[in-house]
Amino acid sequence: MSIAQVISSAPQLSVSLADAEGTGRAVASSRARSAAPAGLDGPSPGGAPILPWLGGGAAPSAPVSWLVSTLASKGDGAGYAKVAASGAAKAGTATKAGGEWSFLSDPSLSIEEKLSRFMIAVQKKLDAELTDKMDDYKAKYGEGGSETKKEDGGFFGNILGAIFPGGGGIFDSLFGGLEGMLGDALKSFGGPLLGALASAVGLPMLAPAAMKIGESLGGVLSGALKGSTAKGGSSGSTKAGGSSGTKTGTTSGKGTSTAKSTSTSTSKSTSKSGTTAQKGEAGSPDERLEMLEIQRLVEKQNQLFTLVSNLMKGMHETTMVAVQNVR
Amino acid sequence: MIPTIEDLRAGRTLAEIQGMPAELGAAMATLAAREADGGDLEVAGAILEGLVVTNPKDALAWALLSQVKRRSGEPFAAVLCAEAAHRLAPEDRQVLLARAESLLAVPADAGTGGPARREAARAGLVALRDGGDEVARRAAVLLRGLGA
Repeated sequence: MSIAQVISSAPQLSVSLADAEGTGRAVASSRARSAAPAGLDGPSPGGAPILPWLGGGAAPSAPVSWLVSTLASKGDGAGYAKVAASGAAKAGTATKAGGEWSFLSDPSLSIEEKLSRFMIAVQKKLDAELTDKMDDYKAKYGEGGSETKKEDGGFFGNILGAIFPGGGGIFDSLFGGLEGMLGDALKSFGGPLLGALASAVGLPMLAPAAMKIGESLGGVLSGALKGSTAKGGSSGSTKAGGSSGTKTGTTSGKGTSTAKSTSTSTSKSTSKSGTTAQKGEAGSPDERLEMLEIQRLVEKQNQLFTLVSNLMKGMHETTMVAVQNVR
Repeated sequence: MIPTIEDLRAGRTLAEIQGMPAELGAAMATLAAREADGGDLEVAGAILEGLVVTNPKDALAWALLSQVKRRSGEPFAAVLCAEAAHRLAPEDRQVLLARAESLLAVPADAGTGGPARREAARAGLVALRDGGDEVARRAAVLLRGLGA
């Protein structure tokens, strides 16, 4: 079933109108809406809304807002900047360097000497960091690495597992057969919003990758969804292979895909994403993120070299100006 | 200031990095709610998406975005937003209401979980029925609509 079909079938909800108050007033809603409402508050084929009060169109006795109240919320301000307390003393920054940095406070050393020692110390640190990263990469994606055995959809399976905790059982009972549609919904989010979603569900480490992946997410996600739900429940494998696969294809297009292309494209994408997750190819988001980190560290080293080189050059030129003036 | 990969990985929000206080977030949410209430769902959605990107830990913003998505004809996006809000504030009554509404917004004949979704939403609304606040009123109205 495509999203368009789902939305068009939204008014067919089997909600008893007879039990609802104020049904007669339901059509009296005159509030202009910019978009067609879907689901419960959408218009039924006959013209009368199914649950008009869900959309704030007509209330049974008193007007009930369809939005949550921003004033009633007493959030703890999590995620926002804390207002600094007045007079809060800042920790002093002029602490004396010690250990491997003790050369900085050594009066017998020239500034050039200090610079070169500084460069060596920082270089040593960056080298260690880079080596660690490469070791991490090898452990994960090298031969027999931990990520090469993944069968749960990897990156996307993690996000979905975090959004719907409790395994495939709960997910299947509520959203069985809707994996493709949820995948499309995630695709519509785009990069930044997806990154925010990953952070919100407790996976901030996936936010950078989510932001980078953005648009290419949907297809891979559908496969991951199938993987994660199939893992959770025994009935998942049949659903994932059949009905949900068909849905993915039909919903992704905007009314242009045919039944034939649906089944073929879906099966292709499913097997492709499954293979990617299993083998941990260079295209997998996690791996790309690791490579990005390594690239960042190398760039950091380059920047350090450029910085020190420029500093040295500047100092040399300054000295040369003085020498030339003497001549 | 642009957040680094380390910032994102460490869970530091853009709001924290840029020094955005909670009051400003609340004001933006209120503005979005006004726009949505006035019928401009597109503007409301854009404000709220910006807000959740700025601070993904703002449960209320996710709940509002869920409602705007639902009204915009995106029931599945509404479900995802509501779940995000629920993960952040599982006890918040407004979040629970938005979550129940998002479950009801998914058409009953979509997928195999129609009755389960309806039952889960009903259970959530029953828990919200008492309290005497706006959430309780809305939950009661919805429950009557569901025939409970």
